[in-house]
Amino acid sequence: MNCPEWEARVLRSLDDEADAATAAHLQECPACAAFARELTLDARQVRVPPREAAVIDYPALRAAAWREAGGRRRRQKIRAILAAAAAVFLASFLVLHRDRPGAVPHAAHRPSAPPAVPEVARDQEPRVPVVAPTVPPRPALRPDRARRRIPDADLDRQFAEYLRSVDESRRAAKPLREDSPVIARITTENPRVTILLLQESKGNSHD
Amino acid sequence: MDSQTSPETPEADLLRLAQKGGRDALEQLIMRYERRILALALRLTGSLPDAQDAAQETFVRLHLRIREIAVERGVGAWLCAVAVNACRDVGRRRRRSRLVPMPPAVEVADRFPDPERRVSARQSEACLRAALASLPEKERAALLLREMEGLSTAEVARALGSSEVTVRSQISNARKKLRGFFERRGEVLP
Repeated sequence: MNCPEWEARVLRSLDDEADAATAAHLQECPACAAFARELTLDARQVRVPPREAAVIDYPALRAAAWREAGGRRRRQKIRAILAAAAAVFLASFLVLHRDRPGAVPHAAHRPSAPPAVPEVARDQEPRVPVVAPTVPPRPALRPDRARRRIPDADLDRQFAEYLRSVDESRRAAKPLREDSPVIARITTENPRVTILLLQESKGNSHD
Repeated sequence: MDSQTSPETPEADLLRLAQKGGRDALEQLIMRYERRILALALRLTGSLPDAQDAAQETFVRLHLRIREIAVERGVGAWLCAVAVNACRDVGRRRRRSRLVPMPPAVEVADRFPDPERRVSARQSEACLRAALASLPEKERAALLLREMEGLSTAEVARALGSSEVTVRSQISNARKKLRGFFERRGEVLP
């Protein structure tokens, strides 16, 4: 092993106890011994605190740290309070503006009472107890919605049926009249409303 | 000062009292470590204003997180780790703000009355600063925690978030580089 290789072991031996081989080499080799001495001096020099550290106004430094820590604590508290307030506000907003479901029959909310045990006469057949349904019925549609939705559904159904009949009539090879633009007439429940299905015109716009 | 705290109170007792909210115990703890932390910060940053900022930040974090410190591990290693991080943060902020670090405004009195020794001491101090500045950040921190603060390899590894093997290698590299720097400087200086 040459000296550069020993140097690595000398460097490591500064922290731990030098092993026997390194210690023996340091006694024999003046170059490596000088290297070890220099390393020890370097370490001693690093340990010396810098001169500026002696002239710092430490009480002022401590006071500044106290002030800053107090300020940060206050800011943390304010942030926590604001976050809690925002959470409460958001929760109450969501609760108040949630779309309320329709009126639910009371029976749905009422906990189902235990089925009453029927009194069975000795000479009668035992009756099967009636159990209340556990699934609540769907809430009924509001009357205005019901009024609005039913004619639409009727119209759609009528129109679909008519289209089906027109299609069947076309399949039956009954050609439409060329001169009539009206290819369908749909009457509705309202006598004043009639839906006309017109043929697409390619020529005269007055058609 | 509390009747419970005095300069002779053991550190573990001070820490326990400070964790219970004892203001004077915390003050005592800071007073015990302030010079060491500032010296470490000075060596790490190489600038007095940055070192003061880092030391103040370290003590602010001590105020805010004193309950997190394990009594059996002690305050010293915890403070050193926080100081290294604070120095890193200050350096990052400084780079972001693109400010040129100002030289220290205070004129420090020399400890050596002999002019020859004074010149030599100044040269060696300047040489040491230049040598430390030439080291990579992690190697410099590992070396300073070991040499200045006397932390064990495990404590240095915990402070730097590295493994013990890495820390040993970093310290060896730093010593070798420092020695090389001093040798080259010795050849240049008369």
